[in-house]
Amino acid sequence: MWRTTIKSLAAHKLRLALTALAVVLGVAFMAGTFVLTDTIKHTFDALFAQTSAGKDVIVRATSPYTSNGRDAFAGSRPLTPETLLPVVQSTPGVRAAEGSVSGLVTVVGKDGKALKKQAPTLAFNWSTDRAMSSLTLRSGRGPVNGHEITMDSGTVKDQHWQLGDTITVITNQPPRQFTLVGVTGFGKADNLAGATLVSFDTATAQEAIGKPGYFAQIEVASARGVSTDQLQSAIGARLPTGFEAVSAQSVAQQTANTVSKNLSFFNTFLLVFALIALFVGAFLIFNTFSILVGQRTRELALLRAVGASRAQVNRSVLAEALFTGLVGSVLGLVIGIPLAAGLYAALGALGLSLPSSGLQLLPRTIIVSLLTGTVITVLSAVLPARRASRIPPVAAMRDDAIEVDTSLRRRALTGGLVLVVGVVLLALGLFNRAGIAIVGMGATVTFLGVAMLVPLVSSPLSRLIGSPLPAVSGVAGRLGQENAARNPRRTAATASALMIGLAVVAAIATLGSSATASFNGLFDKSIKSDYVLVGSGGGQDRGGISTAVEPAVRNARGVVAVSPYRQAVWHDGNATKQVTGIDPVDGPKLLTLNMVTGSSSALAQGALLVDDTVAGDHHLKVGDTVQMGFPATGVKPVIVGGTYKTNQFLGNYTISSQVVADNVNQVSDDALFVKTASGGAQQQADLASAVAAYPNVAVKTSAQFKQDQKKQLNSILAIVYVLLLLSIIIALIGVVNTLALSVMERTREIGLLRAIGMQRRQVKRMIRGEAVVVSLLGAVLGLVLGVGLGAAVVSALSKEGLDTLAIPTATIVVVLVLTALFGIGAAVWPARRAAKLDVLQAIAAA
Amino acid sequence: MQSTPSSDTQAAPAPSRREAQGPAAPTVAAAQVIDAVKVYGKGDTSVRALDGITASFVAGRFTAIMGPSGSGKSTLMHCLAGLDKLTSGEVLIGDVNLSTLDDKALTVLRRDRVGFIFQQYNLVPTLNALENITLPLDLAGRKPDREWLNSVVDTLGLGDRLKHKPSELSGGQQQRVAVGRALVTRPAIIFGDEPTGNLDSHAGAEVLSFLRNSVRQLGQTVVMVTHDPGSASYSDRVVFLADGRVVDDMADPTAERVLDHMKGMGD
Repeated sequence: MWRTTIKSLAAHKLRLALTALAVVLGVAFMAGTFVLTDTIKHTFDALFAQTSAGKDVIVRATSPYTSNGRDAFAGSRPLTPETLLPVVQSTPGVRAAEGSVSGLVTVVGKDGKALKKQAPTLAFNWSTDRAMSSLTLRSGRGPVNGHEITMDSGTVKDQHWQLGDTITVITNQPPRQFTLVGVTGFGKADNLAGATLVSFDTATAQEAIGKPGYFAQIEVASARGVSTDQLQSAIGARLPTGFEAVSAQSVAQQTANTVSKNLSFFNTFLLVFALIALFVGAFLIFNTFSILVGQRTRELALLRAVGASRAQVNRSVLAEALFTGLVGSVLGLVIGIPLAAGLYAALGALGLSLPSSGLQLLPRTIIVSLLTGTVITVLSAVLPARRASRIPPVAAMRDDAIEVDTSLRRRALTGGLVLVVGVVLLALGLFNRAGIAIVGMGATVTFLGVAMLVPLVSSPLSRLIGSPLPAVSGVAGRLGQENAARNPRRTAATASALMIGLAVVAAIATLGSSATASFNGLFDKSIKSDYVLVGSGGGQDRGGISTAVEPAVRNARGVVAVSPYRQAVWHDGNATKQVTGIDPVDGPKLLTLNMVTGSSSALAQGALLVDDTVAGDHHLKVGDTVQMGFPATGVKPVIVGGTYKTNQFLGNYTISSQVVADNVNQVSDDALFVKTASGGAQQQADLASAVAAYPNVAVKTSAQFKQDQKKQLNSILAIVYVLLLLSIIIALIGVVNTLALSVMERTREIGLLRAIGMQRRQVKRMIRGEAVVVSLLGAVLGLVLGVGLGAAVVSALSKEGLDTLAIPTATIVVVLVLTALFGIGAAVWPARRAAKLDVLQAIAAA
Repeated sequence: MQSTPSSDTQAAPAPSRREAQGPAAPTVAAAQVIDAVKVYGKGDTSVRALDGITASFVAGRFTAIMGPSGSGKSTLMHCLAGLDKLTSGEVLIGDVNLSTLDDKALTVLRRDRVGFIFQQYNLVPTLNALENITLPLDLAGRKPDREWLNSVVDTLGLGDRLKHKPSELSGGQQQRVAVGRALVTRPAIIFGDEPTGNLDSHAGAEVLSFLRNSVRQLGQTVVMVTHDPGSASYSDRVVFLADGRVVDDMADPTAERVLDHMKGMGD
C-alpha cells in the first residue's frame, strides 16, 4: 500500500507542488514572523541590558501606580530631589552616585524641519562618571554648559553634522541653539534602536526636560567587593519614605519587558495574517485532494477490488497529505528565515535601525511552524480521504467515473449549523465583549459555514456572474460560464479561498471608511475651532508641542480664542484613567461642552468636569470630591464642577490645562485649537508665521486636519492590505490549480471542441472565462461577507464613537476589477496548457 | 492478400469546387489522399501506419473503411480529417491541400467543411442537445440556417429532447445529436470513427440508416471507419486496408459479402 502512495505522489508532482506552495507560503510567513520578532526582542534585550551598564542600584521615588507605557522615559513617578544625592553618595559601599534626568525633545534638522523618524528623540543629562553611562563618547567631549550638546552617531551621520555645528533643540521652552561638542554611541550601536539621543549638562537638562533641583532618579555604582544586594539595603535604610533603592538590572529588565509586551502584540498581529494565509491554504489543499481523489476513482476502486481495506485507502491519502504538508512546512521554514532577515533590514531603512545581533531561530519557531503547516494539510485532507475510502470496488469496472456525492441537503444542514455557531460567537465577541479571540474564532467559523453553503448557490451565482460572457466572447464565453457552474463543490471551494482573503479586506475597508466618516462627524460635533495646531512628528511620544507655543499663537493677528489640548494619566484607586486639560476660559469656546449639570466655568476653579454617562456609572454629582492619583505628584482631591454630554475628543474627564501641567513631570501639548475672527489663506499664514520658530508645529484648517487623519488611517489600511495580499495570492494559486486540474479532467472534451473547429484562442477564452467567473464569485461572496462583518464591528463599536457606517464603494469596485484581472492572470498557464493539447491524443484519452 | 487497386482509385478525377449539396455526380471526389505515408517513431522502432496509400472518396457516397487492428484505418481517417499530419504525400478536402494549412486554417477547415462522429458520443456535457448541434456554427460565430437546422432536427427525430443535457439522453439519442452536429454546417465530408461502437444493435441500426439517408436524400458525403460487417453493409462502398495499404475495394457491400471477404483476407 505504501508503494502506491509513493507512486501516486510521484505521479502528481506538479499538482502537489502547487498544493505544497500554499503551505510553503503560509509557513514562511509564520516562521518569518517568529524569527523577526524574536530577533527584535533579542536585540532590545541586549540594548536594555546596556542601559544598566556600570550601574548597580537605582534610587527613585516609589510609584503607587503602574506605568501604562506612556511617558516611560520621563518617568510616571514623582521626581527625586537633589538633596538625596549626598545622602546616597555618603552611604558606605557606594563608589559613585549621579542624578539622572531624562525626557523627550524635538531636534531641528539641517533642512529646518523637525527630524522625522519612526523612533522618538530622547534627551538625558550628561553623566560625568563615564563608567556609569551607557553612552560612549565616539568623538569630541561631553557638554559642560547650557550651550552644548552631544548627539548619537546615527543621527549625526544622517544629518551630516560635524562637531562645532549649531543645532536647534525644542524643549518645554522656546527653541534653543546648541553647539555640537560630542558624538556618542550607545554601547557598540550607533543609537538606541534608531532613537535620536541628545545629552545636555545636568543643569540645562533639569531646566529643559525636568525640574530644577530635581532628578528623575539617582544612579549608583558600588565600590569593589560590595554586592548589589548589600548596597541596595544599605541605601534603602537611609532613604526617607516614598523612595526606594532597586537593582539597576531589574529596572532594565522591566523596560525590556514593556518592549517585549509591545513586540508580542506585533507578533500576534503578524501571526493573524499568517494564520489567515494558512486558512486560505487549507481550502486549496482540500480542493486539490478532492479533485485528485475524484480523478483516481478507478485506480482507488481497483485497489479496493484487489483487496485493499477502506482504512488502507484512507491512510494512503492521508499519508500523501502528511508528506506534502511536511515538505511544504520545511520549505516554508527555510524560506521564512531569509524573509525575516529581509524584513529586519527593511525596518532599518524605515529608521528603526537595530544592531544586527544574529537571527534568532528558536526551537519554538521550528516546532510551531512545522506542526501548524503539517497539521493543517492533514486536516484539510481528512474529508477527501474519507471520500476516497468510500469508493466502492465496483467503480473499477464501470466505464464512467462515478462521483461519490453526498447529498447537498446534508451539506446545507451542517453548513447552516456551522454558520449559526459562527454568527453566535461573533455576536458574543462583538456585542457581549467576550474578547477579540472570540471575534476571531467567530469570524473563522462563519467563513467555514459560508464556505460549506457556497456549493448550494455557486451554480446559479456563477451563471449570473458569467451572464455577460456569451455576449463578450460568444460560445467560448458561454462554455466558460457553464464550466464554472458545472461542478458546484469545486467552484465553491476555489471561490471560498478567495472569499476569505477578500472578506477580511472588505471588513477592514468598511471599518476604515466608517472610522473616517465617524471621525469627521465626531470632529464637527466635538470641535468648534477653525484651526488645529499639531506636532508634525505626530504623536505625544515625540515631545509634542512646547507649552511656549500657546502664548505665541495667542498674540497672532486675528486670534479670538486658543486652547491647548493636553492629557495626563491618573489613578482612581482601581484603574488608570485619562484626563484632558483645556484652557478654562477658551476651551469651552473651542471644544463642545454641552453641560448636563453644573457649569464649564468651574474649570477656572480647578474643578473636574465628567462625562454624564460616566458620572452616572460612578455616582458622581456636582460638588463631590474625586481623589485623583497622579503618578508624578500623588493623590489630589478635586471637586466635580459639572457633567457634560459625551464628547469623544475630551473623553470622560476634563480639567483645566494648568492642573494637568502641575501634575506631570514634563508638560507638553498634543494639539492647540484656535478660533479666529476670519478665515482664509492670510489667516493661516499669520498663524504659521507666529509658530515659525517651532518647525515641529503645523497649522491645519479643520478640513486639513480631517484629511490628515484619513491619510494616516489609509496608510495603516495599506499595510494591512499588503499583509493580506499573501492570502489572496494563495487563493489565486488555488484558482490556477483548480483550473489546471479541470483542464486535465476535460482533456477529451477540449479535444472534441478542437476537433470540431474551436480555435486555440477560443479555448483560451473559454478557460479565462471560467477563471474570471470563479474569481468574481469569490470576490462577490467575500465583499458581501466582509462588508457585513465590518458593519457588525462598526455597530458594536458605535458607543466608542464609530457611529457612522460608510460602505467603501471605491475599494469594492477596485477589488472587483483587480479580481477579474487576477482571474485572467491565473488562467494564463492552464489556458495555454488547454490550447496546446494535441487534438488526437486528447480524443484518444480514455 | 494481394492488393487489387480499384478502378475508382485509378481514375481519380480533378478536384472540383462543387459543394456537397443535393444528389452529386458519382465521380466527383470530396476527399482524396495521394501517396499517403505516415510513420510513427524513428529508427528501429518506427511503424509505417500508412504505406503509400492513394485513394479517393466520391462525393455523395457512403464509404466504409475496414481492416484489422493496426491496418491504418484510423490513421487514414485522422489524416483525411486534418487531425493528424502525413509524413509524406497529400490530402485534399475538395480542392484544398491540407499540407498547406497551419493550425488555425486547419481548425477552420474542420469547423466549416468537415463533420465528425466519434465512438464515444463526445458531446459537451454543459450544453443541451440543440446547443451541441449548433456548436460548430456558434464557434464560427454564424447564425444557423433555420430551414436547414429544422430539417436536420426533424430527421434526427429528437423533437422534445432538444433542451435536454447529454446526461439526460440515451446513447442512441446522444449519437443522433452528434450526427446532427456533424450535419449542421453542411460539410463537404463527414467522418465517422466506429460511430455505432458504443450502441446496442437497435440504436446502431437507427444511426446508420440515418447516415445512409443523409447520403441518399441530402447528398451528404460520409466516410466511416468500422470493423463490423453489419455496419459496413449500410455503405455504398468498402475500402479494405491492411498494413497501411489499400488491399481491396468492394462496391454495394452486404454483410455476408464483407464477412466472406474478411475471412478471405485470412490473417
